[in-house]
Amino acid sequence: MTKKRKRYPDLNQKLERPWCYYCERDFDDLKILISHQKAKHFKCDRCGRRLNTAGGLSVHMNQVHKESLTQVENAIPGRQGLDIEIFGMEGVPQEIIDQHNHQVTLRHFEEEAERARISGNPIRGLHANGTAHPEKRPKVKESIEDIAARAAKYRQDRANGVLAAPVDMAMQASPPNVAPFGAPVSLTPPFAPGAQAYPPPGAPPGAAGFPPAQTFPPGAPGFAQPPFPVAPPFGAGIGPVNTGLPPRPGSISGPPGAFPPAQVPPGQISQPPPSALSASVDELISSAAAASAPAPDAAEKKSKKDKNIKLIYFDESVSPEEKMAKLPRYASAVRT
Amino acid sequence: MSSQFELAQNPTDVISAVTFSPYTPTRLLVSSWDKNVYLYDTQDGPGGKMIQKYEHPAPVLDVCFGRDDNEAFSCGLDWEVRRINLQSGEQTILSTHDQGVRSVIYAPKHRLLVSGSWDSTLHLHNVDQPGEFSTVQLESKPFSLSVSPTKLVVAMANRGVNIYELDALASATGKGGVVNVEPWQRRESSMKYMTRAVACMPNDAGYASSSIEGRVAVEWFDPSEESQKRKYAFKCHRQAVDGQDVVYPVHALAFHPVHGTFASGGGDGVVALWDGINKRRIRQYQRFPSSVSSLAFSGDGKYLAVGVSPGFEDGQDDIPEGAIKVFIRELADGEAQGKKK
Repeated sequence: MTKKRKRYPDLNQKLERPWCYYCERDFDDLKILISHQKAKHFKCDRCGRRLNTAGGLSVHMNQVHKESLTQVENAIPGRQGLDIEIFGMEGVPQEIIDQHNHQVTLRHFEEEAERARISGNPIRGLHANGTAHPEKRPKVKESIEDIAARAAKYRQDRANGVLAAPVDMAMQASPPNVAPFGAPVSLTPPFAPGAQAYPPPGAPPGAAGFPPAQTFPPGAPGFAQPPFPVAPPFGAGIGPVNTGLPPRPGSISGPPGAFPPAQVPPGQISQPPPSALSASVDELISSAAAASAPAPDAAEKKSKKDKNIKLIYFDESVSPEEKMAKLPRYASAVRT
Repeated sequence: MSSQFELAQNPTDVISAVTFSPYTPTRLLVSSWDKNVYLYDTQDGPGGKMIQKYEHPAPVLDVCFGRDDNEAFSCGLDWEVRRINLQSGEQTILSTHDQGVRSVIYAPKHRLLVSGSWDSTLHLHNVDQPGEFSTVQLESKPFSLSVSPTKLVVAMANRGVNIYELDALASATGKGGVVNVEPWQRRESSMKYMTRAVACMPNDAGYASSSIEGRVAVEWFDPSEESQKRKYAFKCHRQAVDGQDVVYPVHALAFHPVHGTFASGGGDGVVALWDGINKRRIRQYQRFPSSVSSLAFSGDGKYLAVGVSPGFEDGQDDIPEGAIKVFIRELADGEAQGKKK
């Protein structure tokens, strides 16, 4: 059994929740809202009687306690007035409703984006309707011999200096493809697209601008092509080198461009590079690691100790009175 | 009849203390940074009546009643501890500290007057022998004093708390000079920040203390492990502003003499009533116009005096006119009562 997926309420469900005009709190249903209002906003502080409305409380205070009610208790500033008759959701002015709905909507999308950012999952509904997820890699069939041949060719090219250093490559390869992580990327069908961004496989070695082409055995266009559509997320993965780091360093951590992503799991990155290459690869890894290290760390800290507080008065050992006694206006009176 | 009113004649500078007479529930003393101590009859006409004003040479930091309605003790930035005859206005200096004197408190059963000063000492006075006093050296500056029927709790800087037995202090009073009285218990505050106020339970079971970081701790005197396990602290006097928690100092604590519940007053201008036994908030009053600097229940528990002054925490130099007020709240039956068992 897989773990049951947590269902987050969608926007409509959120907008339908009843909420309290006086304190903007929302509730599961109207009954609870009404009992909340009676307990928090329409309760007489002299005898504890719970009235139905602010007007009712005002009349009660007048008649029973001979006092006049000036404002609704526990209300947020600006909503303490007695002039509006509120009962549950009734009586709330339309512009306040609109304002509330707007805020709920904003918060909803904010939370959704935040969840997407944290989990790395796409925003729900975004890739429905048959559009593939931008990160989905097309399935590639490649025999072990092909891989070996390709790797050998690659090593040879690297050793001969045919391929540019991965770092350079990352810089050149990424800009055209960098797409916001998890953002809606309109995907082009697997076979047409790369052709514009990259020269066809087997292009002359001099085309150093786009060296990934060289990583594939020439004359095998059929399988050399598929990796290209992968490029967008891959490009984003390179990001750490010159741009910000995506939240999940594990998603693409292989040395960008060193190996076609579809075939080489990130774990094997340090295994084969020849000496000529290893230095730059190591450098890249370490720089990527350095860039990725603080990110999750900081996120972890924040969730653990989310203490965003502001002290009105702070001092280790001097009391407010002692500070006050030092003010110039008391200087003449204070004995020294 | 209104349940809450403000005194008609208020001090002109920050209020340092309000205190009811333990003998007459309408007699109220207020000390202020305007160098005066004020005596009011809270029920004489609307807004009460100021009976008399006692001028001091320097800002007054604390005041308390003595043996009867006509005796008061005060202390302040003139370093002196004074006795005031409230009828004649005559003032007598009982002792002089080496720094400003923050608090003064009278333990009626032991006829003992204790003053606490920033010179890190307590002075013990026998009120029947004016002029005689003994000095007790403390580890650090005392910020707040409170007495229960048998104990004195001293909350100090560096989060220290000393609990003395009044018997031991009373017997040391007559010795004169510096006396060495070991505290009955030495504790560390259970809160992380500076202690702001301390108040003993009227039933002698324990005390509550508050810190500058919106928190109140309740602990018990009984040193047994099970009693100590019952101690707790909770957050209060905070406000969320733009996702940030604004934390106010809790300046004042006062126990209700009858119900044993307590009130806390904070820099946010809020006074809340708490049931310390059941760990419940009983109620929270509507926000006062500015910071609550002092609180006191009357001896019969019918009235609550609230001293309100702005700029108390950050020591602002200008104080808006008319923002310094003493409010008197008449409590309804059971208003300060905790959950019934």
